[in-house]
Amino acid sequence: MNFCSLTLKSATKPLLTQGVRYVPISTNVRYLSSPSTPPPVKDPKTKAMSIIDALPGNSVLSKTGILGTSAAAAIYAISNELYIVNDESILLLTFAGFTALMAKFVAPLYKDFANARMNKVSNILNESRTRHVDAIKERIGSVSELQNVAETTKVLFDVSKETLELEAKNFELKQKVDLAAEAKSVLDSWVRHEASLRQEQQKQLTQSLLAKVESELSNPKFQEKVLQQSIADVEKLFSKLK
Amino acid sequence: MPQLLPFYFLNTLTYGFILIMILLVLFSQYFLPMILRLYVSRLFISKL
Amino acid sequence: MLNLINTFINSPLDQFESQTFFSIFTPFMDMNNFNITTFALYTFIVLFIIISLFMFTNNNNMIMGSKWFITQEMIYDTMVNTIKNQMGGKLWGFYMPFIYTFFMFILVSNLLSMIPYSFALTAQFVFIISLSFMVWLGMTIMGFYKHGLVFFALFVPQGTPLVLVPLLVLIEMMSYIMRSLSLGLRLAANVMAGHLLMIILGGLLMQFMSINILTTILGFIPLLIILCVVMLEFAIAMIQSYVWTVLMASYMKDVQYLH
Repeated sequence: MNFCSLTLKSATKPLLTQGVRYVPISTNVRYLSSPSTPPPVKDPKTKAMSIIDALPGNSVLSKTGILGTSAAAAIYAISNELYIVNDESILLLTFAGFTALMAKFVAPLYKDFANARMNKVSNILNESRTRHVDAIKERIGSVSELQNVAETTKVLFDVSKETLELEAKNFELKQKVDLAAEAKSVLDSWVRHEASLRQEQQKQLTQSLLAKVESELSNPKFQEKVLQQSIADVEKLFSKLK
Repeated sequence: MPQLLPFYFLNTLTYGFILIMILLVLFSQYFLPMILRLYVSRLFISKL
Repeated sequence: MLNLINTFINSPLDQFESQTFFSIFTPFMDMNNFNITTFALYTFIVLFIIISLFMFTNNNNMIMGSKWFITQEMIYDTMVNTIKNQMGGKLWGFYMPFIYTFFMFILVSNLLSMIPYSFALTAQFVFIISLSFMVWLGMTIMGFYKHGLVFFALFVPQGTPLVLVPLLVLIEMMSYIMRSLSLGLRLAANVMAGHLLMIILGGLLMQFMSINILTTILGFIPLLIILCVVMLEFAIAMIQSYVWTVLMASYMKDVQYLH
């Protein structure tokens, strides 16, 4: 019954608010002349005030003016057969009721649903955007750590240059050492050669001396001289012994 | 004249098929690609 | 004659009759096809509604549309799921705009026709049945183009005994041909029946309420029943467009994949 009363209310509400043209109709259309049929549930005064508030306009005067004009327009339209009350009027009524029901019950639901969905999607999008921004910031930070990379490179280059120079010097010295060693070995071999050469000369000298002595020995004069010498020596020795 | 009966509906058919063709072009050329682009851009923003 | 304001309904079927508002007359050729009739007016309205549903709600092509655009996204998701489930395979994307067009057209014109004093585009039997026949014919031509004479394999269900094949081919072919009629007839008959029901109930209630004041007050109870009927008709208006879509997708699957 609650639902029934609700629907009744909402079905007749548009009739009250917009369909004022039905209200004080002439004699043959009295069946629609009952806008106040639903029993007032709340305080009728506040209800009427809420209905009046729903009308456009600021003061009570303009609202009553709108009400009166629309009522007069409805009467004029119906009496001059500009609007004819027929079967479709009932459908207009039910359609208005349906629209009111929709506006009252389905529209807030749809609004909530749409807002929830929009929030969900935009939250996902915003979240991914902030994530992206964070990632970019992180990358910027990691890059900014390398901002004095030029100086470091310069220092490194200097160091490497120094190393290279040292290496070149080292190589030079090594070459010198090698040269000295080679010279030494050459000189050593020269010395050895000289030494062997002198040995050879001495050998030849002794040989030539021996050969001379032998040739002297083979000379009979000399032999004789040596013999006499030796005899003289022996005689001397004997004389001494005696 | 019953043989003229089909011609009575030519107006309906003309406008109806013109409407269907216009709608087909609009949908396949503009509206559905629009929604698809929307979804794809959302996907690109959120997943990449 | 411009019979837009002074609408006096005599018969329940009067609401489906289309009047000529503006007729084009040339002495050289017959231009009556392009008369602005009620039907033509409502095609313009449908076109305008569909265009504005997409153009005025997408928040200037921003990544989040307005609240109304959520509806479009929901319809899009529903259509993608339905057509994908019905057709399967890889070809569903090619025919989705085609089926989507019909869905939106039928949905918008059904809902538009629910407004009182308006005209039901989808209750025009000639138009709707010729639409479904055209769709059927195009699908059949596409099937023959794609599969050649193998297309006739559609009429033999898998695992049929050889004896039953002639009979089954006959029956299947009948049902296949009848699809062209039934697809449109279902929609138009539903919409027309709904509108007739509403207008007849409205007329009855009108007569009841115009007896005296007591019946006027009492008449608000049957008014609630008519309200329920109106809600049911709204549901039917949406369900019928969905049914058309599902059936069209399944027919398309038959033609594309042959079982």
